[in-house]
Amino acid sequence: MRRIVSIVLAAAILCLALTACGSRQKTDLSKATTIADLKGAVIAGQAGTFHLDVIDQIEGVEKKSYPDFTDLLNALKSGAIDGYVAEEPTALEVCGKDDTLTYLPFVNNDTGFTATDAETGIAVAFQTGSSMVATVNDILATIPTETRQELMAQMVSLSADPDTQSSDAIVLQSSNTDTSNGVFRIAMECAYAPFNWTQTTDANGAVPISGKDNLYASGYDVRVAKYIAAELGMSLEVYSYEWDSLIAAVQSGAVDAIIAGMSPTAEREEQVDFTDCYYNSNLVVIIKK
Amino acid sequence: MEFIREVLGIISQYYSYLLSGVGYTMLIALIGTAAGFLIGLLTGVIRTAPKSKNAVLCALHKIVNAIIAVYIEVFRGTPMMVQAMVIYWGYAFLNDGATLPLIPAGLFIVSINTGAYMAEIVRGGIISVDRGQLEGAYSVGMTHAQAMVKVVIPQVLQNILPSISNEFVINIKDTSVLNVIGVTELYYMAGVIKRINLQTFQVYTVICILYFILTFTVTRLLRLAEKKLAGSDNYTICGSGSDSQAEIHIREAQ
Repeated sequence: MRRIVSIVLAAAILCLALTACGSRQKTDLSKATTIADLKGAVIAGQAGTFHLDVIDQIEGVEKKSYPDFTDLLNALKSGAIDGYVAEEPTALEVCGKDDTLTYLPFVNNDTGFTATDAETGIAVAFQTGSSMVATVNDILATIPTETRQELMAQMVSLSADPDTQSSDAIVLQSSNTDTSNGVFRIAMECAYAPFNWTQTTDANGAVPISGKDNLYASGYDVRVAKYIAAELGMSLEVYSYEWDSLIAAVQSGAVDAIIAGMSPTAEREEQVDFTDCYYNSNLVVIIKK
Repeated sequence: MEFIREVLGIISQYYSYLLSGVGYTMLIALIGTAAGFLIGLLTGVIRTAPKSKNAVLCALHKIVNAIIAVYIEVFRGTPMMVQAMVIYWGYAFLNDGATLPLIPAGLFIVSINTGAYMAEIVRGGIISVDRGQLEGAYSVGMTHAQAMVKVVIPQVLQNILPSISNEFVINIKDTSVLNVIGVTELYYMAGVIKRINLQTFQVYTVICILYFILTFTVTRLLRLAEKKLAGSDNYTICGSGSDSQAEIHIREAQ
């Protein structure tokens, strides 16, 4: 009897503790047209990214950081934050998967954040002084802007259901099938759709993640990496590391390059060498409808 | 209910990933605890050994003791997650990009970490055995090594079994920190699944239940082993050969 009473009491205290905190005062952002309209909101970004830094450009907001993109999404859905900073492709992907979400399509340096092309572009990173930078720049130059846009649109639609084989051919394909020049090892998070994500089958040409049984990587970065490797006449190996370990992976030589939706910011330039950008996007804020 | 349906959906869709995660978690926890115990036993015996009369041996003993003390303090005093990052990336930087294979790296990190804790547990176990036991062993002509192996260690093992099972349970849970270097244990698998289906709460509910099943089963099994080692509750102390009535029957209090 006493045991039952104590369990009931414990459960009651737990429920009280969970509900007593009450809900946070939320800010309606759906009418915001410039970043100045976000005043008073709680805005988050991924730790260690440029997305987090730009929150300082908005006046009067509370800034929060989370370690990976799913955490940001959860924080938003649970009501812990009012919105989070992301790139437009991510916003398209996330809002496509979840119809309770939408995003504010700010335009960089106009209605949106102030950013240079380097800060909102993404580039391949090599060890400082690597001769590969020039070679890869030549390869990237052969991918026209329209192909980049098309490829990104294709990846956004693929990411909705990555394990089902699509009938459409990937728009970026290399004609070179010779892989006699060795192995091109690259690192990414495999957790930043539509740039790179993890799936459980090799559908749509996903690449197995090295050292991880039955896990495959796909996304915009993987397609570009596949194209670069093929043009170099090399075979591709994908390694999955935490965001904060990517620079260490390339510096130590554990991998040859980072192709992970990483922007060539000034701080990172001091640690690694970047190629030209292989995609440029807008910074947006993802919010609840 | 929607939530329960999603939880069951995760189990039926990703059971092979969850099982492989459980497998690696148990493998690392089990071998890590066993290896840690051996390290603890070795260091415990060395640290409680009496001073040798030979000056060279005595100096050597002091040096070894100092090394063990540093090892224990460093590995007990820093988080395992930090050790994992330092060892994994330190190795990669020192060896021009060659990285440690993940599962052996995980085993190594958990083993040396557990070893540091076990060293103290074993030392405590040895000290707690009554001094008279050791003296008794010496008095029948045993050397220190013989006394340790035949008299002290068996008692130590029985006494510290609860602490060992405690370490084992802690290791099952703490292997989750190895996800920072990408060891595909249970927590890492949860991360993979949540990034695919974006159902964070549901995925962590599933692995929460799995971790509990693992630790609960292990504690019950080790409790059984403790009972077995403790022997029967009812036993008879042999009495005088001439007077069978002198036997003392000891029974567990009802």
